[in-house]
Amino acid sequence: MPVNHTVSAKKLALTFSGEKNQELAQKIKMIRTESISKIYRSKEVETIALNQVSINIESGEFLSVMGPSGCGKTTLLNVLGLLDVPSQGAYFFQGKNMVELNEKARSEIRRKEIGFVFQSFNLIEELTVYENIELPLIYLDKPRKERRALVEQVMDRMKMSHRHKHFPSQLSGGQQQRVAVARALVNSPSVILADEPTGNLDSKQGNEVMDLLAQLNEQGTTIVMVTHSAHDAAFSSRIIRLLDGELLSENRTSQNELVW
Amino acid sequence: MVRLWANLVFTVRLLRRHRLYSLISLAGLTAGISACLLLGMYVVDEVTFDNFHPEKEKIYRLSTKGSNITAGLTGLPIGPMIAEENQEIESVVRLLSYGKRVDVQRDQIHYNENGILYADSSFFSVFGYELIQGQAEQVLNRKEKIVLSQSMVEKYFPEGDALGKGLQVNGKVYQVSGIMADVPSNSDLQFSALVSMEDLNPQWAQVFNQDLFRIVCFTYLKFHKTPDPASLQASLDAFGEKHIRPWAEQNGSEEMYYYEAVPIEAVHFDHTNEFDSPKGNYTYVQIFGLVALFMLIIACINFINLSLARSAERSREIGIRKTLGAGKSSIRLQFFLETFIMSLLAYAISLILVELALPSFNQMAAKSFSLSILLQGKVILLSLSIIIAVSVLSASYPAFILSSFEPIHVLKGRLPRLGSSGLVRKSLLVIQFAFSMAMILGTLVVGQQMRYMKGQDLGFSHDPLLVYRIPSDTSFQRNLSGILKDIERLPSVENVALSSNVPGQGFGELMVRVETKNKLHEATMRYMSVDQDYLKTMDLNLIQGRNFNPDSAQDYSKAFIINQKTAEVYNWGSDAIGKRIQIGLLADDQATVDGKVIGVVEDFHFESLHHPVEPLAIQFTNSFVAYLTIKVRSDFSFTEEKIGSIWQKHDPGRITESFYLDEGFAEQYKTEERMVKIVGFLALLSILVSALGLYALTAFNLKQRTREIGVRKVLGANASDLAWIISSEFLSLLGLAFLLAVPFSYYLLIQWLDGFAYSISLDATYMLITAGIASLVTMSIIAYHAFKASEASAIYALKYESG
Repeated sequence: MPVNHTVSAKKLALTFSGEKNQELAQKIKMIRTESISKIYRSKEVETIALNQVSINIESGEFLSVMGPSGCGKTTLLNVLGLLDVPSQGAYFFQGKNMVELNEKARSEIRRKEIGFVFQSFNLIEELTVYENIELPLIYLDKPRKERRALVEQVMDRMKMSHRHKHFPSQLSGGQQQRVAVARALVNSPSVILADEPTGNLDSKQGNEVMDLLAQLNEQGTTIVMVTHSAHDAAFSSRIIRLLDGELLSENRTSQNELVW
Repeated sequence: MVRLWANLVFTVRLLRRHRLYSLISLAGLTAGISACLLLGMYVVDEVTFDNFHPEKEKIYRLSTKGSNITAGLTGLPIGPMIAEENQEIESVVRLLSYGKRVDVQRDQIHYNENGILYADSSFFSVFGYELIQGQAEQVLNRKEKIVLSQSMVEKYFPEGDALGKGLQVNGKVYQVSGIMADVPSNSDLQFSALVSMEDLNPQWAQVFNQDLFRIVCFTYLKFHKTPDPASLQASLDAFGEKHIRPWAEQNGSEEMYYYEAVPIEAVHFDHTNEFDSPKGNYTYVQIFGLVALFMLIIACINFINLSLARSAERSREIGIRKTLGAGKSSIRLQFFLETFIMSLLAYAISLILVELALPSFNQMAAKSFSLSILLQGKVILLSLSIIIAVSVLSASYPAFILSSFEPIHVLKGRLPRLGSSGLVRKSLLVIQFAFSMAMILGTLVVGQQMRYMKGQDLGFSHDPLLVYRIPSDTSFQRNLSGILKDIERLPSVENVALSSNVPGQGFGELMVRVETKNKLHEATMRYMSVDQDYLKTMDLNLIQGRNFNPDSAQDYSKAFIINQKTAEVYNWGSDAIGKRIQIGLLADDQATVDGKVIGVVEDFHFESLHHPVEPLAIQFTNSFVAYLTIKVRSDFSFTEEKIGSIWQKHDPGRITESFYLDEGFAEQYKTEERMVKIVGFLALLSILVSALGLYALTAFNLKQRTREIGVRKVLGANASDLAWIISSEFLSLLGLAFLLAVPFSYYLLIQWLDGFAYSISLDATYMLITAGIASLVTMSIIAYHAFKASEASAIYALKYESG
């Protein structure tokens, strides 16, 4: 069930109220790609995974990327998440060019600014719920007390506090994905990248997760989600479609209008 | 600290989750560390012999070198004579054996002892043996004083207090002037009591002091400061020229003796000397040291291979961590800490294993180690640094590989391609295999050589021969005929014979003159004296001439029986009877015994098979015998009991020492026996570790080829087809390892076999057996995996990599 998005938009608008509102909002282009391409080369074959894709994602937006298998959705998400580098083109994250950064700088941005949610949850099996959520904070070198406060806060928000000592294998798929979302959220990233977050869940659990993401977006988090499901995509404010690595079309979901 | 704790918790969870891999990793490390600890103890103990003397670098032992003798002993007056010339010498200690079977008695307590030494009074100020009661300078400063070891005190003074009390030694009463701690096991000088050199029988002292060539005592020199080896040798050479040469000329000897000083720490491995205490074998120490190091390296290799094998499973976790912003260094640190924790755990388990293994290891290695050696602060610190080294060695390569995983690949469930690591992994496996094969080959060859030596016909009776040591004191020797008669009367006893020596218990060497081409020729020969029943009791075959005749006075003084080898060496052929042999040489071809050969016996091995049979002269005697050899027909234990009571009847209170001749002879192979056991045990351990490693690698290999195998299975491949696919790679590695192992170990084994006068020849059989064992182990592991793979669902395999 799509959520009314104006609440969060208002919130943001409030944040940037005043005369400079328009100007600031321009600057807060979270993500901008200029004709990025990704070409995989093996000895004899060249595969074009992304072909000249240019997109803009504003702060506070909830964008869905759709398309058939092999269309380049995940590649695009990996590039946006700084897990992969484009072969050509430019990629600006919060106005900074990412293409020139080395692995260390990229991993630092990943650490601070980006949260990931995966189809297969990707929790570490040997860590408890609490420890899984805590992990990004450890890599941020946050002190123990602060880590505890943040983890407890986010667990509370995700309604996972009562399960903080459980291991992933002791949770249902939906619960695991909630932990994954909590982990993606705990360091207050500017953007959450979700790769088919409901792909491994039944419809009830899937809906719960989508509600959660929509809520987060409402509270101001930018979300980019790759999905096969039109149902899930309907939660977002904008959908782009890819086919064979190329951007096909862009449409805003009917009920949601962007502020800027 | 926080990170260490978090990692500890994480590692423990990992271990629990992946039980099989954890068990294999830990088992490999534990095996390597345990072997390394045990061998390390052995090696350290061997190389620290006589290391406990406080000023050890200033203490040297003299040895005597002549044209046909090298001994760790000197003449009695040599030490003081040298000290008189050399101002750098602070003091001299001479040690002289009191005798082999010394009669020690206090009231009803009566034993034969062989650890009593005459010592100069400077003994305790030169050496670091711990004197518990008594003043170092005074305990041996005059006659009739005796210093006892603690064990001796416990034996003869069970009430505890011994100082000032009397103890009878060979009938003479000594007063206990000092009590010392038992001699540490890592000292070459082993003794239980010391008496003053002044107690030496004056007649003997006179003989010894007049004859510079009579080498009878250990002589230790202590210098004011560490001497320069070159100038020390120069001064010893000068001493020889100045004092020994004139003496030799004056006494009409063609022989000349020189002296050398060996640092006390080097004495343990100085094998050039005859008549010396049993020595350490430096080759074995080196081999064991090398093997210890290799065991540790093998354990590390195993760990590395297992980590790489598990890296596929770990890749997802690492992908997640990297996605969340973990840098390479943090992944590496994490992996290092994990490995460190594993190694620490393996070390702790090793300590328990070592404690459990020590009794049997001590028996194998003839040591008396305890775990406490490993629990000293210094040793723990050393062990910890070794653990860190092991961790770094084991962690670095896998950490490098793991940290370089690209998250986008591994998160898709695609297994990382470990391109270059394949070569490393294969090389590591080859090294591991090669080492295991070298160990198998070593065990086979060493074991075969032992079997060969034991199975060799020694040339004397195959029947069990019971041997008694005869006490040397005259009162006993006087009783001997009575005892003999009683023993001969026992129905189960077939033969009884007396002799000065028995095979395997050491044979003296004598300067002799033998007749060659009607001239007398000076030489050395082995020597023994026997009674008329010895040849029969020992089943020695006379091939020329006759046995000694007890009714012929001539036979006692002027007859020799020789072995075949003597006839061979002097080209007497079948004409040996009547040839002259002189012993107790005097000047001008005169001798105290000038006799003729009356018989030739077939060669028999009177020494171990390390040595070739040498010329032997046997004289006739019925006195001054040291051994009683009894051929028993049946009822062995009953007969032994009977003989014991006969002994008691004739000499109440005496504790008799007896052994079976073949067992006594086999004692000579003790060092080799130990070697076989230790090498065999290590071979087993290394095979086990390698097999575990192979097991894990095969699993890894299969996992990497899941899809290929899935496809093959869909197309109809069965377990044996799969086994062939997997094994082709491993078998070629095995072949490579074999090519590496064989030349190296053959070289070492040939060297080792060179130490025996009689040895097996190295042929291809051992290689084939080694290859067979290695292939069998490899193939069974591969077959197991292939069977498992063939049982698994092909659908799962195909789905597996499709993400």
